[in-house]
Amino acid sequence: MVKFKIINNEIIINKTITKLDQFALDVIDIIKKYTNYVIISGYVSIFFGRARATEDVDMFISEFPYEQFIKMHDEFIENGFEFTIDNPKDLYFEYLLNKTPINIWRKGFPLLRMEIKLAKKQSQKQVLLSPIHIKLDEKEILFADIESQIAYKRYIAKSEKDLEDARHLEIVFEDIDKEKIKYFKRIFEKEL
Amino acid sequence: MKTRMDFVEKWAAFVSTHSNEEWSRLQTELIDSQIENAQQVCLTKEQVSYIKQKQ
Repeated sequence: MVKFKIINNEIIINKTITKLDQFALDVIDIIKKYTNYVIISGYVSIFFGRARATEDVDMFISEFPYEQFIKMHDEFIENGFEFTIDNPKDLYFEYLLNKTPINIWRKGFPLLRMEIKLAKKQSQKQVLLSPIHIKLDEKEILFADIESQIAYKRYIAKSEKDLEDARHLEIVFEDIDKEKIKYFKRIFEKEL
Repeated sequence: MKTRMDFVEKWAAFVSTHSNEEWSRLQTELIDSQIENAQQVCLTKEQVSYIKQKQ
């Protein structure tokens, strides 16, 4: 028996919200006003039940204008968040546009961070454009395609933790498309 | 001997065969307790940055 089934690119789920989920939801509430995003990597497995915590929730975003970035930065600060560095201009031009991830966390608690990267590669843009929509109570979270995450973790990242995350997703999801996993594997390998 | 992967598979099977309420309640206890423990440490962003570079 499997648990999760994606229907029309959507899953509706009722579950207890962890402090990790709440942190992700709080960051997403602000980010989504300014740009497209998609959640990737370990938090995808954790959201769907993997029994582990993490210090980083990873996210790809679309490029968006500096003026908008400043507004987003200010909204985060007003809501009690901190960034990797204090200068928003450097954050945008030296970090984000330069393919260096930026981190956001609740002021005083940098051990739990959202790590944000600009989607630059073809595969990154692809997962950003076709996310699965997770409805959780009144909220929505956009996750990367499950097959893309299995492919990345199994064939590219390959640490013990990544292999375990991939196996968890394979077990709890119905109708995992093996051809799609192979397709993403080929794309990821091309980009290495 | 049981491997880590055996436990991962066993837990995933539990998630698959129990209600969302049941598995997520157990998972929340695990995740929230780890976050609460981490909150006790009160590291600065410079200390976290240093730890990340060392990893």
